[in-house]
Amino acid sequence: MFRDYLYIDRPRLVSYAEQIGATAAKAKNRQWRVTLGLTGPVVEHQQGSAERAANDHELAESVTRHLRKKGELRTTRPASLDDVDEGQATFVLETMRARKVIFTLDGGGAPRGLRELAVWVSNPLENPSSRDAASVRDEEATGMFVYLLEGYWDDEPAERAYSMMTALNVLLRTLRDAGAAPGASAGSDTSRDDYATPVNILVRNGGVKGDMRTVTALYRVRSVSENKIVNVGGRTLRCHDLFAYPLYVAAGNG
Amino acid sequence: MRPADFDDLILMLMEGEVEPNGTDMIVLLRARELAHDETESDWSGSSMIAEIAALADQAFSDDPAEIEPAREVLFALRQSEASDAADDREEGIRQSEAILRHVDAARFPVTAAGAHLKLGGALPKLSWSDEGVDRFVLRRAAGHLESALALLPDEEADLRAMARYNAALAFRDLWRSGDEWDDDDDYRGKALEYGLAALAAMDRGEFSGDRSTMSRAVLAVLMADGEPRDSEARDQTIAVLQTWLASREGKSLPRAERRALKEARDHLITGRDRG
Repeated sequence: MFRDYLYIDRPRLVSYAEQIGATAAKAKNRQWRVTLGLTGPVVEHQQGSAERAANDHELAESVTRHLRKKGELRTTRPASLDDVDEGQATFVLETMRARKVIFTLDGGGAPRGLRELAVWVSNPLENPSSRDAASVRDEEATGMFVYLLEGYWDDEPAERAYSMMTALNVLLRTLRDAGAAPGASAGSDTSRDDYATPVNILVRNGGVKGDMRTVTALYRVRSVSENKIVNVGGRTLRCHDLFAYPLYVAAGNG
Repeated sequence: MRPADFDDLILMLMEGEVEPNGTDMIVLLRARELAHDETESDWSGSSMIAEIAALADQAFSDDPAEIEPAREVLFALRQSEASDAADDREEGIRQSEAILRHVDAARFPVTAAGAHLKLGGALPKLSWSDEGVDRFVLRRAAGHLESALALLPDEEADLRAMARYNAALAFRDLWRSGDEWDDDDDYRGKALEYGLAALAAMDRGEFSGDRSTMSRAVLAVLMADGEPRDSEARDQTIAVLQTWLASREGKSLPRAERRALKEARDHLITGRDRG
């Protein structure tokens, strides 16, 4: 099956692949030769192999394979703070429904060569009403929002968003550093008392909302919190949220 | 009695066997005028009456293609009116649906809008049960109310305000009964739009709905995400609180609720003045 990549962080994949010696792939090299022998023509076959630089797909596959082999790959979305090791890289491979929110960069602090940044937002896996069935109180943090930021990496280690901060705050700060979101003084920032949905908050900060689609992503967790409170139909529900950098995003169940 | 019994109904009305309601009276008067070749009555006082009179013209005309639908609509209109008197909501829904099946909305927009309005008002009450809200029925109700608004002329200000009032509540209920983390259908946005318009119609004296109900609905939408962050939403919230507190309904609120509303208003005004 082919995989349709929507985004690949090649420099990051190469960096990881270098650390595990997987930047090269072997290419088979076959040679055929016809010579004349005493009994007539002789066909000679030689097979060797040569090394070439691994392509994007091979890089993604070898990094994933390595993480899986070392037991460092989660294949389900973290459900709480405890599922994310602070200071350690937590990698997750997950298929999810997500909506792309695009930010246009206007120069200034924009990273070189980037004209836009995109954030994939995925809502908690279970619908709000599932809390009632599980007798979860509204103020109990349950369900995880996921934000994947394409094209920008601030190289900070994984962290919990402390105090009243949410992972969305960390994401907005990163977007501001990248020149993609207005300054906090513009009144568009968010706080724990802001019950708008993450997508609406990103739109308020200058993002353009796209359609929802199914994607598969390999991502590394940057920040996680248990303080994202959202309003659903007049009801305020406390959730977790997680900000991560995708190594790749592919269409569908890839 | 079925729509095919229109002739029988007219006969019974004329012989006094059935007590006529408003629709019957207009039809009988118009039938009498037509029979005597009289045209001097002015039926233009109300769009609804004018349309019933025009339907009666069709019902007693010589064109078979016009007679049948007009009689179906007139019969359903009178039965719908009778269902109101009998407080029979389900019969009212059936008759309103019958009107919409037969009426030419382009020629009789107020009649068609009236049926949409009735369905939009009655269906939400049927959408609630012990098992929760039937969102399909609520969506139908909201759709009928938007159809009524699309048909009603501007001069029918009270009916337009009523449609908006009920639409605000229907969309509010759709928003509240949703089970999605984000809502692409924007029920919340429509609840706000129609709710603010209904309150404005009350301010202009075009409509006398329950201001407390509508103010609560609009404030729930405006403040769902916490304190309004943009200046437009903040100003809208202040205005709703001001007019509610100044209204008769606002003055008769329980003291604690009134005080809380005043504090919320003052807090928002302070924030606005600080810029």
